[in-house]
Amino acid sequence: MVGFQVLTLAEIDALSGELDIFTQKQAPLPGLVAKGLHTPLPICSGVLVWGYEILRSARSRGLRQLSCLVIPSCPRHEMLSLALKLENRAGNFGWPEKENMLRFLDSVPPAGGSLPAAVIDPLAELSPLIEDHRDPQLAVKIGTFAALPETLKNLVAEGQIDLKTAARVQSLPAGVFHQLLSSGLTYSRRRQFLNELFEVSRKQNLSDRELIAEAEAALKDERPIEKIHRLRFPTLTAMEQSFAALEQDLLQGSGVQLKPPPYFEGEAFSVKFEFNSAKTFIRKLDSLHSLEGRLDALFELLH
Amino acid sequence: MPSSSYYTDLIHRVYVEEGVADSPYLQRAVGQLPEVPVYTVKDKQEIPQKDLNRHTLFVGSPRGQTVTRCPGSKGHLCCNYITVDLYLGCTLGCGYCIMESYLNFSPLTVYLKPEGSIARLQELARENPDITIRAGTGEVGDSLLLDPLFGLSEPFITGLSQYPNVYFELKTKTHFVDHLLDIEEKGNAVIGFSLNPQHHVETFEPRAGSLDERLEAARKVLSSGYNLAFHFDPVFLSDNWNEEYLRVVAALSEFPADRIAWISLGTMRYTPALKETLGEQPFLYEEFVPCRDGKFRYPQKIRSDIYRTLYGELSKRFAVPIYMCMESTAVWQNVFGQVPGKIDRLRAIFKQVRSV
Repeated sequence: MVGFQVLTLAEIDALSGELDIFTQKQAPLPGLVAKGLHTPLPICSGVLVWGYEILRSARSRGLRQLSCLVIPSCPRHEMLSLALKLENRAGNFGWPEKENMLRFLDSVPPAGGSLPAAVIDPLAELSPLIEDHRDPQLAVKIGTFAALPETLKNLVAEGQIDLKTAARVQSLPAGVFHQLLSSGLTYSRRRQFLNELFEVSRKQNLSDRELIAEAEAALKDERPIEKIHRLRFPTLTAMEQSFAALEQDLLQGSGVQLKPPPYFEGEAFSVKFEFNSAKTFIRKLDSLHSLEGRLDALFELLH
Repeated sequence: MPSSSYYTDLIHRVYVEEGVADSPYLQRAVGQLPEVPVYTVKDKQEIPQKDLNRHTLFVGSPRGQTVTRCPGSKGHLCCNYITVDLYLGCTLGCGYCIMESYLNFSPLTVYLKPEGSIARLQELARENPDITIRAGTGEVGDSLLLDPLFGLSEPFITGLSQYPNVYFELKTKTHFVDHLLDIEEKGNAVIGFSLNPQHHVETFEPRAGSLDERLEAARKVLSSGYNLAFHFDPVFLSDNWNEEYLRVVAALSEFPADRIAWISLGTMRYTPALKETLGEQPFLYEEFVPCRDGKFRYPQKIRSDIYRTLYGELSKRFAVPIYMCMESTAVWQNVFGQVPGKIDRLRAIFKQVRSV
């Protein structure tokens, strides 16, 4: 039987506070609480389900009792469902709050992102109240967040890095993340930087020290993304540099543009130039003739 | 022949479409899976959601065309292979397989009633007497993974054996060939083995046959009268790829060239969707670039080098058609100096079959 009761603050304090999980505080208007104009605090199976901010407000105002709604025993996911409905901010929960929800449903911390089936379905069911849309993968995502190292958890919670990237690159040393944050790179460029640095670390088996040094060098560069990209794609970079050197050597200042196929995938180079007289036309052709002696080096890039 | 426990580990349930419940191929298969529950359904849609996974086997009759031209890849040269849908999906779980990107939640599917496909291939053979028709069941599944259960390859082999212009290929990463050895009318049937150095087999093809098992199976089918094909696809770049792959090439020396129908080469490639599915596979940390068909490949210069090395070694040993799968004109020019239509040994097999 559901029943309204007025309980003293001491009685409420004696209840389990394990659903005090919301870190985004929504303080009620203190004057209304003092007049008893607040949502009754739901209590179920000895757990204060929701209303912790009302309780704190009442305590700070020196109130002695609050209206409560005592609910018969119900499963934990139903308690969470009620708390979420009363919190009423679907789509606006932070990752730490979502982790708290997961831990309320399953007190065993997730190991390596694996989760018991007992939390996957309830969180999928509750996802419209949490994310404002149904997400069958929500429990897995929260589990992924929960398994992150603390530095990355903070970055994800602050919206500095997306969860997927954080989960992927978590083996990078924390020093890399600190450097990255002070770099001024945009959100999407941070993601690109981290993903490519991570791939470099895997391919080249770099130590933490080496990785931090590489990250530092790249971030000091005028073009950090390009710098890390060169590390990630050394063959392509070498080809681009060879091509650029040849082009500069032979055609710089000639007004003739030489272009390789994209990513050096293809059979042909293209040239482009403009001319407005027979004289300039002949000059451009002369510039092109200078390529003749270096064509082998040029085509070597495609062979 | 794989043990019955091999299949019971693989297959946890069978759903049979009503129309094929009496099929002798089905009876043969379920007879070898005594402990696996078999359910009859009207069609595939009736399989419960919870069973839509790779431990479920769906057996039905084919819908639509089962004999089609290989779709090829935009901007890349295709060998005009004819694909036959028979076994769809694969549980070998190779770490690079394109099927991983779309078959994860699909049951393995077997199309019974092979008569329609066989008749279609016979028709093509009659309509194209001047063309070498290469057809096979290994495009969307492993040709031999489930064949010891169902025995569906046999009617293809015998049904096409009288057509001298048809080379029907069973392409596999397994060594499951014993059930094929006693088939009498083999015609030009080809058993094709996908090959990789054992180190890559262990890393990327852990549930497939070992390299030695595949080579042993090749010996068996050769001595029972089949033609052979070898597929170096996908070839992986590594610090010592050269040494590793040339060792595999050397291991093929024992096979007579006149019994090798063809050898294909293809380097590792993937679609962006596949990359998402594959996760952190070590080979993905190599350099890949986007190509004209949207797939990612090693840079052209690297691919050309790999192909030149392999083709150079293979062509020294075997005067047989050796070709690249899904490669660009530029790479063909780099490796062969020509496109396949202008290479004597390849012209015949690259000729397009009419009215497919």
